Amino acid sequence: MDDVVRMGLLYDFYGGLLTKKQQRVFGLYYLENLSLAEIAEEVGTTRQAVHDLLQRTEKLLTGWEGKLGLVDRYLQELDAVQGVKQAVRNLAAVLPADDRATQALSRVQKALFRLISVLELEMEGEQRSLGADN
Amino acid sequence: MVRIRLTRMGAKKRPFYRFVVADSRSPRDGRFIEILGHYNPIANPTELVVDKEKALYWLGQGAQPSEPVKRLFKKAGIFGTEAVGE
Repeated sequence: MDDVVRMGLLYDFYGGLLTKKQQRVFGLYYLENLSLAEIAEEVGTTRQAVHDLLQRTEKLLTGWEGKLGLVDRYLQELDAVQGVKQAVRNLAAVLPADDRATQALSRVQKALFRLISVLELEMEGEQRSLGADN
Repeated sequence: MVRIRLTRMGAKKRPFYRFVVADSRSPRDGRFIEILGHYNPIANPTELVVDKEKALYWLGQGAQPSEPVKRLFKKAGIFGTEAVGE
């Protein structure tokens, strides 16, 4: 995974534990993709100070991830759920079109959507068709 | 200076990025000159869409891509195929 994406996800999970200043500089660098020099100008400090602050912040975030592993877990959940979704789609494609099969499939789909929602893997309105409700 | 940045959109835990052309003198006001494409790193498969023609135009105009933009442009085949300096 690209470094920027990984750092962005670490920030999603642990950003609230950073100081306001760390949040600001980290956000400018990793979310808005400003250069060190641009950030230095923005916050009124030196490029070197921005660089040092970023390094310390990265170290904090990766340290928390090392202990808690929330991002790693999230990515694994995402991957696992993708697998289940694909399996349900495949199942929907081969199920006979009788009422009992359709109802059973519908229950599986509802349970899966609930799981996705609980794990916060997709936003509302983002959920894609599972293949049988067309 | 005109820069090409990879700016993050999307909600928490749902990273989604845009390639934008923006003036480095107004980095924070959210204004950009043009969108060149998008990148969805957690889609399966990863979604990386760049308007090659526009990207090459802006690079030709001397727009400076950030490091992550360079990496992704390479991946998208923007660099390495044309006579575009990095």
